[in-house]
Amino acid sequence: MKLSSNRQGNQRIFAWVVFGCIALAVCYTALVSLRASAEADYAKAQGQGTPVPLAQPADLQAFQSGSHLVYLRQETAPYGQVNIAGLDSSSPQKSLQTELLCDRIHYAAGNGICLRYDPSVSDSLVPPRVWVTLFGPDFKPRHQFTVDGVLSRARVSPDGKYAAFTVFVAGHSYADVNMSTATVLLDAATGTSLGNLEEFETWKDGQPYQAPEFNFWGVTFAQDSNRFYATLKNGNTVYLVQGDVAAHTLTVLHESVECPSLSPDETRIAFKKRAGTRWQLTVLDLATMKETELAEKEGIDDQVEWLDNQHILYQKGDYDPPKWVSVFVIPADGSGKPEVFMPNATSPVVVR
Amino acid sequence: MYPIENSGDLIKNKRRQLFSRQMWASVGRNVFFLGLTSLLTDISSEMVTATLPLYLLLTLRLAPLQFGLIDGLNQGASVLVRIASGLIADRSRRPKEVATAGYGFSALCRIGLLLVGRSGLGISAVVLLDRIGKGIRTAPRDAMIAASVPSERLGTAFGVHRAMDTAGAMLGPLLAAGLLALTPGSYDVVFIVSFCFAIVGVAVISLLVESPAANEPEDASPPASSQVVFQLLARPGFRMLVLISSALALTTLSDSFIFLTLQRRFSLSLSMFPLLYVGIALVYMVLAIPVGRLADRLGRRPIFVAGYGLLALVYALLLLPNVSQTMSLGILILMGFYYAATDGVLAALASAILPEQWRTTGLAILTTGTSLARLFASLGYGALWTYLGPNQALSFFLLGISITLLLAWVFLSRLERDTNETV
Repeated sequence: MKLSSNRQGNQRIFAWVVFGCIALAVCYTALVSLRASAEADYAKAQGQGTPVPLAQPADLQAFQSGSHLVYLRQETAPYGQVNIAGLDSSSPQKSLQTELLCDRIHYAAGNGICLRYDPSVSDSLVPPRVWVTLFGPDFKPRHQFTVDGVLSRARVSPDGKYAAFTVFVAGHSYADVNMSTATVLLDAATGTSLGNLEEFETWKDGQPYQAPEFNFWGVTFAQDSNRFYATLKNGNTVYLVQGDVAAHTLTVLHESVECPSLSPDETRIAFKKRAGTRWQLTVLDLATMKETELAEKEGIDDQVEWLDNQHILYQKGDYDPPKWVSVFVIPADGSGKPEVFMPNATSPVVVR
Repeated sequence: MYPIENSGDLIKNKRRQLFSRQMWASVGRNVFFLGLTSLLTDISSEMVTATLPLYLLLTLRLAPLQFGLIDGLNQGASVLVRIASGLIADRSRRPKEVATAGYGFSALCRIGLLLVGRSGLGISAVVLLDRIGKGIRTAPRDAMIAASVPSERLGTAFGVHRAMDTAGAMLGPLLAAGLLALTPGSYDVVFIVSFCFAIVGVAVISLLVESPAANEPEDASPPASSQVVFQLLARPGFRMLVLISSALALTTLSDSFIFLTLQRRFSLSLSMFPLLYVGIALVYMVLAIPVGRLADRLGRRPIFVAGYGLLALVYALLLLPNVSQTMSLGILILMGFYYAATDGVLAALASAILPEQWRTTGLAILTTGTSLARLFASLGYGALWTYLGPNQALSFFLLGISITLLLAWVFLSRLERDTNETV
C-alpha cells in the first residue's frame, strides 16, 4: 500500500533527523564542558577580541595631566573595558586602555567607582550579582564587594571624597510598577558605607516627610562634595531632593526630576523627565526653577554627564550596525541636535 | 461513567474505554504528534526565553532596557502575520505546510542568535522573526487539530495539545538551567541544544503528522481575502463568540499583574515569580485533558464561562483584606483551572461553529481579537494602577469581568439556540 510505505519512509527519515539532532546536542555540550575548565574558558572568552596594549603608568599620567574622557569601550570583547581619551587639543591623540572592566563607571580626582555584573551568577531564578569596585588613579581595584540586583547609576564627588551607586533590588527598570532601588553613599578612599539614602531624614515643605515606600536613585554631587542631589520616588510621584552627607538629611526641592546631573557651574540640573512611556532630557535652572527641554526627541534612560557648561553627554542606542550603543552630545540650551560624540561607548565621565 | 443515549454511543464508548490506557488514543495520532511538535518547540523557545536576558546582560553586556524598545513592534507584526497565514492555509488547503514553515522559521532563529552576535539590529530582527514564526503556525495548527477529530471530541483534543504544550514550556527553562550549570557561561550550548529540539519539532510535523483529508473546493473561484474575513464575521454565531471572548480578554489581568498583587500582600521575593509561573503551568498541564473531556461531555459553553468565573473569583480573593498563604496557593490552583477551562475550550468552541473551509482564518481572527484585547487590558490596568492605586484598579476589573460574564452567559446561550447545535 502506497500510504503505508510512504509512512514508513517518513518514519525512517524522522529517525535519522532525531539521531542527528541528539548527536549534535550531546557532542556540542560534551565538547564545551570537557574543555579544560569552563571558568577559565569563560575568562578567555571575555578576553578575546583585538589585543590592545594596556596603559603604562607613564601614559596614564600623561593623559591625566589634561582634561580627559573616561568611558567604557563597547566595540569588541571584552565589552566594557575602561578607556581614556584626551579632551584638550594638547592631549595625546590615541586613547588608552586599562585592565578594568565595568558595566557602569564614574571617576573624579583620582577616585573611581566601577559596577560590573558577576558572570558566574547566571541563574534566571535569582537576581544578578554586581561587583562594586573602588579604584585609584592607576585604575587598579582598592576595595571590592558584591550586592545583588540590577546595576544602574554610579557617581563620584568632584573632589573624589565620596562615591554613590544605585542598584535595583526589585524590578529591572525605572518603568517597572514594582521597582525598588537601593542607593548607597561610600567613602571613596576607604570603601566604608556612609549609609543608604533610605536611612536619611527627609524634609518636605518644612515638615518631616516619611513613607514606607520611599525609593532613591541617581546621586549627583556638588563641588563641596557634602551637598548632593538625587531622585526620590514616593508612590507615583518623583521628586528632586537636595542632600547633606554630614547631616544625613534630604530636602524635597522640585517635582518630576529623575537622575539629576549638576552642571559644573552648579546653576542647572540636567535630568530625564517622564513624558508618557518615555523620558525627555530636560535642564532645570536652579535659580528660577525654569525647565528647558533638550532637542533629543528619543526617550533617554541615563544619568547624563556635563561635557562643559554648554553641552551634555549621554548614552543612547545606536542602531547603525555594527554599533549597539554610543555616547552622544547635545547643547544644554535646547538648541541643536544630537550628534555622536564617541561611537561604541557607554558611561562617559568628563575629568577636568 | 458516561451518559449513554444510544447504542452507537455505547459502541464508541467501549472502544474509547479499550484505548483509555493510551491517553492519546481517543484523539488519534495526529493530535498527539501535533502536541509533540508543540512540546518540542516550546522546550526550544522557552530555553531561549529564559536565558536571553542573561546572555544579553552577562556575555554581551547589554542593558535590558535597550532591548525593550522593540517589544511593541513585535506584538503588531505577529497580529498581521496571523490572519495572512490563516488565509493562505485555507486558500491553498495546505495548513500543514504553512504551519511547518512557521515552525521552521523559529528553528532558524535559534542559530540566528549565535550568528548576529552583538548587533542590536540583528538581535531585534531574530526576536521579531521568531514571533512571526509563532504568528504563522498557531492558527493552521489549531485548525489541523480540529480537522483530526470528530466534533464531539474537540475539547479533549485541544486539552491533549495544550497539556503537551505546557509541559514543554515548563521543561525548557529547567533544561537551560541544567545546561548552564554544566557549562557555565556557555550560552552557545543552550542555543545549539534549543536548535536541535526545534528541528526535531519540525521533523515531527513535516514527517509524522498527516494532512487532514481535504474536501474538494465548494466553489471554483473563492472570494477575495477581505470578503472572507467579513463573511466569517457576518455569521452571527462566530461574530458573537469573537465579541464575547474579546470582551472577556479585555477584563483579563496578565499573570504578572496577579503576581505583583500577591507580592505586595506577602512582600514575596521577586525571585519567587518563576516558581509562581511553574505552579500555574503545573495545574494547567494536569487539568487540561480532564477539563477538555468534561467540556465535551457537559458542553463547552458552561465550562468556558465557568473558567472566567474562576478568574473573577481570583480577583475577589485578591481584594480581601487578609490573604493567607494557603489562600495564595488556592489562587494559583484557580488560575491553572481557569487556563484549562478557557484556552483550549475556546478553540474547540470556535472550531465547532466555523465552516471547515475557512476554519484557519476564523481561528486567526478569534486569537487576534483576544490577544489585542489582552494587550489593551494590560495597558489599561497599568494606567489604572498608576493613577488610582492597585485596589481600585482591581475592583474596576472585577466589576468589568462580572458584567461581561453575565453578558457572556446570556448571549452564548442564545448562540446555542441560533445555531441549533451543541457548541
